[in-house]
Amino acid sequence: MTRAHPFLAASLAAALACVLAACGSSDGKPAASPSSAGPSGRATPSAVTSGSGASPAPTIATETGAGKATAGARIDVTGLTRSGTSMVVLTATITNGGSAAMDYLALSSREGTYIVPSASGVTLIDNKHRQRYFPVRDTARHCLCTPFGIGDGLASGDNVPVTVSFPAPPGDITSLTVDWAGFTPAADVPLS
Amino acid sequence: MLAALVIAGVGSGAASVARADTVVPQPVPKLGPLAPALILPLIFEVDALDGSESTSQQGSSTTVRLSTDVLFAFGSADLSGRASAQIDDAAAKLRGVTGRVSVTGYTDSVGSDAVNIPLSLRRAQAVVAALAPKVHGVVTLLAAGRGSADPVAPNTVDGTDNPAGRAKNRRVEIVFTG
Repeated sequence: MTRAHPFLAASLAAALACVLAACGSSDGKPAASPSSAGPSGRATPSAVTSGSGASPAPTIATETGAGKATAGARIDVTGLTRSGTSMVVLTATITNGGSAAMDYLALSSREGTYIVPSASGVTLIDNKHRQRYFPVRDTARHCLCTPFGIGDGLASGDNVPVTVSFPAPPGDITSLTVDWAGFTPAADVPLS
Repeated sequence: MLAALVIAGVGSGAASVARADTVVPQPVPKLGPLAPALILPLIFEVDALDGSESTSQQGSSTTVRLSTDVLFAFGSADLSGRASAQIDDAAAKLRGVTGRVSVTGYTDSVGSDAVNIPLSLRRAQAVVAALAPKVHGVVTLLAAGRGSADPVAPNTVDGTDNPAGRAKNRRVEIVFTG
C-alpha cells in the first residue's frame, strides 16, 4: 500500500478535540464550545446564553431560518478554518429569534447518519469541485461536532455556540458554501 | 508535601508508621484495570453534488460508492453511457493501490432478495469488468452482490417511503486499503 493517509494521523487528535470540546452532554443542553469548556472539558449549561450578554467572535456570514422549524432563527458563522491537512472546523453561533423554543432536531442531520441530536445538519459545498462535505463522525455514528442531547430545545432569545469538523477540501479552495438544512445557504464563506 | 503524604498514605495504613532511622518497605498499591479508551476511528465523507458518487475514508480504508442510478438503467446490469466517467474516476482513485479490492453491489429494499441479490452481483461484475483494464498494478478485484443488505440510509422514515434514502442504497461499493 503506497498511499499516505493524513486522516490516520488526524483521527486521534480530532477525537481528542471532540472530547475536550463537545462530548458528554446528557442534560439536554449543548456541550460547551472549546473556548468555554470547564477545566474538565465536560459540558456546561453555560454554553447556552440569553439575550445579548454573550460576546461572540466577529460574524463572517449569516444564515437565516427558512423553514417552519427554524423560523426566526439565525446562524452567525464566526469561523471556517483549516485544521491541519485533513480537516476544516466551522464555528458558529445559533440564535433563536423566534417566539417559541426551537427543537434541536431542526439543527441535526435528518439522514440517519448520526446517532444523537447534534450540530450535524450542516454541510459544506465546494462548487469548484462539485462536492459536498459532511460532518466527520466516528464509527459509532457520533458527529465530531457539538452534541445537543435531549431537552426542551433552544429557548426563544437564547443562543448557542457550535463547532463542527469536516473533511478538508483540496488546498486550492479558499471559500465554501455553508449549507445548514432549514436555513438559507451562506455562499463564499472565506476559508482560512 | 500534601502529595507526599497522600502517596505515603496509600497502602496498608498502620504499617506505614516507621521510625525516622528505619525504612519500612511499603506495599505497592494495586491499580484496577483502566477503562477502555473511548476514542473511535473517524469517518470522513465527501459526496458529489449530483449524487453520483460518495467517498468515505476510515483510517487507511476507502469506500467509493457509485450510484447505480447513474451506472445502470432500471433493472439492468449493462453499464449505461453515463457510466464511463464514473468508472474512470473510480479507476483514478485506485491508482497506486495494491492487493484486494472488493466491488459489491447493493439495491434498495424494494423487491425480493431473489431478484435483488443476483442483480446486485451482475452489476458488481459489470463494474469489475469495466475497471479491470483501467487499473494498473497488482490488484485483485472481487465482485459480490448483497441485494438490500447493509443500507447506508433509511429506506423508510417513520414508516413512510424515503426515496432519497433508497437512492443512496442503490449503489456499487468499491472498498480498498492504501
